[in-house]
Amino acid sequence: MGKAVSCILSLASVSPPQGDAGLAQWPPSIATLTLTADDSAQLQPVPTLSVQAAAVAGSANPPDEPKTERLSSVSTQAHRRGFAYYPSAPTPGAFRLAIGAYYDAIDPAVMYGMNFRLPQFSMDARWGLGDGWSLKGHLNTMFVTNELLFGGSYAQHLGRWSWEATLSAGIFVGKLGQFGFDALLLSPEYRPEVALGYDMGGIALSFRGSLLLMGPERVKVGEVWGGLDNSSLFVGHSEMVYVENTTDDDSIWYFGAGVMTTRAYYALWVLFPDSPSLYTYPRLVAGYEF
Amino acid sequence: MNSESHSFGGNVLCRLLACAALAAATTSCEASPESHVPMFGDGGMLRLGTPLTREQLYSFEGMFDLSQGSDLLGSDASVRTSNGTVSILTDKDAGYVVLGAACLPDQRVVLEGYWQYPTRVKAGLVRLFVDSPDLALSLCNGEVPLPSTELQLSGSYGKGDQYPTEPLTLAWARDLKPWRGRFFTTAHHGACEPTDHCGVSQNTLESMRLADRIGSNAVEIDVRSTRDGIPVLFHDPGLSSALVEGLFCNGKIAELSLAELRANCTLTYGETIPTVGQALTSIINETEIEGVYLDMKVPEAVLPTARLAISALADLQARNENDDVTDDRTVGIVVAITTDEVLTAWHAAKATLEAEGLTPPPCLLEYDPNLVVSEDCVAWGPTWTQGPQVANVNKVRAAGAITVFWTINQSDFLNEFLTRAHPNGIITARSALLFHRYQKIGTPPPLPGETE
Repeated sequence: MGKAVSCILSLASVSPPQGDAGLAQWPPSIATLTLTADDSAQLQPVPTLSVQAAAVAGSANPPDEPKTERLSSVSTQAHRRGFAYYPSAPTPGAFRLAIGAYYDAIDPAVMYGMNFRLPQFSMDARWGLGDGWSLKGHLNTMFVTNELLFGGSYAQHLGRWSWEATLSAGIFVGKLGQFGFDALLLSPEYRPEVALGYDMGGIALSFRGSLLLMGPERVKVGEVWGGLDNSSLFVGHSEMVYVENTTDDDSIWYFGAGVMTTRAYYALWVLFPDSPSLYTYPRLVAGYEF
Repeated sequence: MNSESHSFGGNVLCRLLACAALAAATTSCEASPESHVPMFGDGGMLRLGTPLTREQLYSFEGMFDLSQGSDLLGSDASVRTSNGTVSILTDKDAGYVVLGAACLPDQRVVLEGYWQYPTRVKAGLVRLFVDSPDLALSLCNGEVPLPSTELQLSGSYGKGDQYPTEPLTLAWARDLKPWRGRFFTTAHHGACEPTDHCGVSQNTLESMRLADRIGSNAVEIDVRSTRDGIPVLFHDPGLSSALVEGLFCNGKIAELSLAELRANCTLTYGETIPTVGQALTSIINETEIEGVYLDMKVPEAVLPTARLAISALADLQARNENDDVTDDRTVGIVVAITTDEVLTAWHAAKATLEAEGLTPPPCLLEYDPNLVVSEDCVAWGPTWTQGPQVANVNKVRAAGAITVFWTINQSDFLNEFLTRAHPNGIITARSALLFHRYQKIGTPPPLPGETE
């Protein structure tokens, strides 16, 4: 696997051809990338939707017989630009951006009986560092609730299976100045995650488990600051299954479902429910990776 | 795998996951609160004794210091009483102890009951004795001793249904600050949150009886109207499984008659949805609650609720004017105006009642402090989420009205609001916590018309 990984270079590191004709052949979804035995890369426009890569020495294929790897292959993407959720080991400098939405069906009991549930906008980014390492960023927001996290991850592939460990830290910000509220909540947030991936060829299946850690929380109402009763570093955990479907044009669409098990104030900070109990609710996600 | 099999596998997988996701999104995953209120299996020692009278229970009121049992209740606790109950109230996990008191045949005085942390599934048994034999004898002789440092309660507490073995000792330290008729520890929709583990559902007769025993001297209850125009206690417009149970318990309160509601729905702990009339009767006759905050959720409920309030206030007046002083009772009832729509309904209700020669009940206005004065309401009920609003509290007070904030459950903010705004009351689901914080750091608020 490692050798196969090393032979795949990021298209992001290859400059597009100059001029109008060259731009018309970019992005690389309509290009082939040929790797020679000495790992030099050369962009060759061809009318197929594939990337041709030569196997390195030791591979089953001789170096002079290029092996075709499709952009729609999970294995190719995992080692090229990576996925937002599937364990990935992108090449250095490779970048992936995902935009999507969350929907949490939060227990109305947690929400003082409120039955409305707003979806959240989400954005995830991955930046390849090489050797299985990535930098990751995450944002989710419904304007009154915002989480921004940055972290690093390491991934390994073992045949069709793969795993990834991620550690992120950031900030949880809640702000509402309308509807009778003049309230703000600020808290550092930490999120260790492990993911198990399975390569289904053109579909990447991931199971991702996360610990949600927060604190200390600070809340402001009017001019008064205070903390939360029953605050705890451990505010919950999530278990999600993601399906990321590769496409031939180098992009990915994804959706997923899972369960969030969190304290009430993580689920809906703005009402400051102070129960220390954990509540379980489903989360649905969907989006697109560029 | 070729592209066709990709597509086939992807489609099948996608459909399966989409179905699972849809099921997850539409399936209720709501937490059902668990609760267990422990009891002595044999009925305890209370069954052997003679209950202390209401007057005698006042002897137990005060601030107490704990020399043993601080793991359970913290270093100090407030003790207040209601009819048949001695309540120990703390700021440790908003915990409380609910006790009955009786004189035993051997002239000891026992206090027995249970402790509970409402936000956790934690409770246990408590058994205490009046330490001083002279004081116990005095109580057993029917005397009403004044609270003093001579009063020390010693005994033990346990966990769950276990026999109490952990030592618990508390000694009277000082009198309570004035609170009856002065500071309203107002139970949020009866008592406890739906996510708590108190053992009662919100907005029920049971929750109001509990509120009386765990530190509240007022209750806020939510009022909606059934299809047949009967005001009932319910928070949400719809019958969600967070609050009710029943296979055919669906729809909205406004779409169902009271009979249909009663036939199809029970509340989380098995109670029935009470009417406002039942609630007022229960509060007046079965508790020592001093204030009722009728939170008008819909305009349709305003006129029938106002009629019920007028009737209850008239009954109270009749009781207080008769020759029997034992049935005297003071309860303030306010109709809470929560929105402009409810205010419009209030105007119409006032006009109707006055045309019938009736005096409308007092009103409370939640949102605009300026309207409190112009609408001639007796109280302002601002949300706490805009801060203590000290200037507005003082303005309302100067105009002769009181201020009751809603709904503060957090210690830090209870402290800040108590010390900055000196409100006349706070709505909370943590009555024990609020009562004890008021006793520790609060200042008895000025009476209406007074300024600080």
